Formats: sequence, C-alpha cells, structure tokens
Amino acid sequence: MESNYIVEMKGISKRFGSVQALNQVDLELRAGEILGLVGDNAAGKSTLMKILSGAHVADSGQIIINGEEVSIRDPRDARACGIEMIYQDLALCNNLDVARNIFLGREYTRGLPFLSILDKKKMYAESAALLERLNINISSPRLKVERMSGGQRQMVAAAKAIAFDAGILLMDEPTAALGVREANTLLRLIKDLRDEGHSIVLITQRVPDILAIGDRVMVLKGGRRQGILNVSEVGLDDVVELIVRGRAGAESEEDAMEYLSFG
Amino acid sequence: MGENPTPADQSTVGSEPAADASPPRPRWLPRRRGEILQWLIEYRAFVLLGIALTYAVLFVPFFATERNITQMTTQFSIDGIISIGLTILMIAWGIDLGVGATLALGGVVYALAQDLGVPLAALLGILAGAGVGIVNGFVVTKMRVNFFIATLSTMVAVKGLTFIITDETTIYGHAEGFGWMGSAKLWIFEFPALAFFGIGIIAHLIMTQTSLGTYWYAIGGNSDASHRAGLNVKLLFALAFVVAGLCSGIAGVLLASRAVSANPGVGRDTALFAISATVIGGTSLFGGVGNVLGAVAGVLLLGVVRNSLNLLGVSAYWQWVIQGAILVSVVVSDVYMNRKRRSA
Repeated sequence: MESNYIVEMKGISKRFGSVQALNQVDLELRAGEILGLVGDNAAGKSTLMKILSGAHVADSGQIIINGEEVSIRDPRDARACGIEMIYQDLALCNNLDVARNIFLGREYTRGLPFLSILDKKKMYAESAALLERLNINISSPRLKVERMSGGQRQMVAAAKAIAFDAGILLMDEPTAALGVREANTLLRLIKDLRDEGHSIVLITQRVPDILAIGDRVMVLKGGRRQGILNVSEVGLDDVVELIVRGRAGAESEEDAMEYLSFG
Repeated sequence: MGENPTPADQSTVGSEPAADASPPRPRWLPRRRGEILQWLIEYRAFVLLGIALTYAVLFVPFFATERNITQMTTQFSIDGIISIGLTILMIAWGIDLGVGATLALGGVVYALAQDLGVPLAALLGILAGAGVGIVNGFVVTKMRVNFFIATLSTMVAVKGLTFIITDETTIYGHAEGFGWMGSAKLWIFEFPALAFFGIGIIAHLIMTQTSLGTYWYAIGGNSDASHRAGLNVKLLFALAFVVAGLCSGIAGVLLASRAVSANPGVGRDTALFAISATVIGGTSLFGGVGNVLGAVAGVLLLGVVRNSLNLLGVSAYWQWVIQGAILVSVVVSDVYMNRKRRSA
C-alpha cells in the first residue's frame, strides 16, 4: 500500500509571522488519482501546495516522492521531481504567444549556448499537437494569451504544466474565475489528464466539482488536516460538515448552512 | 450564466454562438473597426515616418540632398543606438534616465585612453558604459531600489565623475585614427549610421529569435510567472541595464570619434530623444510590449523631424516645445493602450 503513494507529505508545518498557517499536516497522493483539497479561506490549502511546488519552504516536515525523501527549495527542484503547479492567478505571460508560454524556461534551441536560437518550428508544432491531444479549443499556438478568454488561459496553463510530462499536477482553484460552461470544459480536461495517468491535487472552493470528478477529498481547517474521504462514499453534506466544523464539530449549524448555499 | 442558449456542443470554449450556419467567430478575432485604430497606434512610427519623409522630401529645401542625408543619419544614429538599448530595457520593464551621462563618460574614457591605441581605447569606453549598466543593475535588483531613483542617482554620480576625470575640460583626439569611426563612409552613410542599423538588426534578431529575447519579454510581461517558470528574473533584469549602458558607451565613443574630442557636458537631451523614439516606436512604459524595429523607425522619425525643423530655421526652443509635445502625445496613447490591454 505504501508504494502506491506518489507523493507523501509528513508533518508539514509553516508559520508566517504570528500565524501558524500549517500545523503538522500530512498528505498522501496516490498515483493516477484526483485528490480534492478543500477548506475555508486561510485553511492552508494554497500554502501546502506552494510548499510542494517550491514556492514556499516548510519550517518542518518531510516530502517523499515515489518513496524517496526529497528536498524542494525552489520551483526548479519541484520541477525536477515532476511536480507542476498551476496557479490561481495564472502564471502566464499575457504578452507572449501560447507556444512561448508553454515552453517558457525550457525552450527548444539550437546553435550557440549563450545566445540560443529558438527552434520555433518545433515549438509551434509540439504546442499544436499538445493542444489537439488535450482537445483544447485554441486555433493556433501563435496566438497571444492576452486575446484569450479565462477558460482558454486556464487550459494553456494546464498544457504548459503537462508539456514536459509532469506526473504530478497541483491546481489552485482553476475554475474559480470561470463561467459554468468553461468550468465544465476544464473539469473534463482535468479528468482526461487523470485518465492519461497524471496524479492531480485540485484545490477548490467548489466542493461539487470534486464530487463530480475527484477520487478522494482532503479537508483542511485552521492549518490542520481534518480528514480524507473517498468521494464514492460521501456526499456534499459530509464534506461541508468537515470543512465547517472540523473533526471536533465545534461550530454552529448556521455556518454549515451558509457554506452549503455558497458551494 | 444563461445569457446565451447553450449549444449542444459544449467543447467550443471561448467562441460565440453563430447567428447562422457560418462557423462560429472565435473571440480572439478582433472586431474590425477597433482593430484598425489599434493597428495604427501599434505601427504609428512607420505611419508617421512615411508622412514626415514625404513632407520633408517635397517641401523642406535641401532635405533630399546627399550631404544633408549623410549628416542627418549620423546625427540621429548616435542617439538611436541608445534608443535600441533602452527598447530592450523597457521591454523588460525598466528604464535608464542616465543614458546621457553614460554617453559622456564613454566618450571621455575613449579620449583619455587614446594613447593605449584607438581599438583598446574604444573598447574601454564601451566597457565604461557597460560598467554603469552593471552598477544600475546591481542597485536595482540587489538593493531593490526603484529604477527611476537608481538611474537618476547613478546619472548624477556619473556626471560628477566625468567632470572630475576630465578636469572640466574638453579632451581632444590626437591619436592616429581617433576620428576614423566618426567619419568613415560607405556610399552616403557614415560609420555611426551603419553601426546603428547593424545594432538594430542584431537587437531585433536577439529579441525575436533567441530565448534571451523571449525572457526579456517574459519578465516585462509577468515577472512572477517568469520566476515560477524558473527564469532568473533578477539576473535578466540586471542584464537589460547592462545592455542599455553598453549601447550608451558605444554611442559615446562614436560621438567623441566624430567630434575628434570628448566633452564631459554632452548628452543633456539624449534621454529625452531616446525615450521618445522608443515609445513612439511602440514600446510601452509598462513593460512587456515593444519591438526594436519600431524603435528604429521612431529614431528615423524624430531625426527627420528635427532635421527638417533645423532646415526650416525653427528656433531650438520651439524644437524643444515640439519634441516635448510629441513625447506627451505618445505617452498618452501608450497609457490608453495599456489600459485597453489590462482590461482585455
């Protein structure tokens, strides 16, 4: 069973000034699953994923990838472990075209090592193939990102993350800014990626999204892990109760009602 | 949700439902009328250059003479080389207000070192410019000083230094070949003009064909995203300052060679001219947007305008007024374009 986990985070703690953002949090991601990561604002979801992607460094705790302990101190380290994060605020350069965004920092080049010439033909061809493989409806990899809709940008971000066969994708509220139709298309893409064998952590405020496409869901509250549930065995109410009340069940009924209507 | 009836095929993300049987119009295809205006603003330098050239050739006496063209191209080329360096720096979302001071320093170092031989002296002059760029890059990226303040401060310091090492006097060129770079001629173009066009082409190729150019666009467009993509944002940003300094140094050496002397007080209007030309050429003050060819066109445009006004006998003070007005109108259009881009 132990070898089934592609990522294990053990006892992760992180403090920002006087705020204990994460307190001894564990996370296990199975190979080829979609793990939902839910919780209220400031529950520590994004912080946990930023630690895994190298944007933050944990104060304490271990990260184990494929059974081996690794040290992730910056985004390059994470990338070397096959981890790519797709950020809520979209880490794309709007002034560049799709292909340049997908390959940013990893361009195909030829010629001089210190002034490497871009192999644009190869970059455009591979980008077009990638867009087609993922059924992303963008007519050309030469389009600048600034001319695209929010959903298209999210899909470019996803394509960028998997362009180099990152096995582990971390997505931070990818559907938050999208309309219903675009969100559904994106969720289908995420599911397709899972079916291709990627392991995915999906941070979201929309619990129904996870129930629709996820395999398991992990709940954080106040920087502590509250539980990890199999999607097939639980309903919306169970998850929301865990989000709002935590394991202890301390807070009031009204909060749960509020969250249900929000979700 | 629900403004439009949802079509059966939900995979057409980002496209509008078509009114008839024709294929849906993708959202990225711009509406026609707005596009023409945008195109005019984006390629304004070429459009305006065409107008100015036509006017000058037809109506300005002596404009279209060989001698005038030789003189004019040499004159704007020296500032033009600085515009190219500034274009790269501004694409990376920086600016260097001290290019004029760096220009003076480059020329002075060239003149002071002339006894070492002209090639070595020229190299030292250029390296002095690059050195100022290194200082700027260091102060901005390592000490996190705002680049306006940083380059303004180094400008003052460089100016002082230039006057100190020259003892406030003009240094004349006496070494053999000192004036060669300023006067060598191919057809109707002198060496500075050839250097300007050559550097323009090289810079254009770097910005469009290499990963380095892409990185400069990337950090100017979204430095966070560039950092997350694993780029060394600080080093790239500092390097852009070095490029601006390097170009200023080259311009300084050429200017001194052409004048066969180095005056520590030159370069007062250089930053104004170079920034104007760059912004007219389509480079945004807000980073990430611009191109070298546009800057070259902007330099030609301002050069033609300045030369025509001279030939028409317009006083230098009115020329300042006109140049200032051009800069303001160009900056206003840049702010307008930037607002449109951000809201898109």
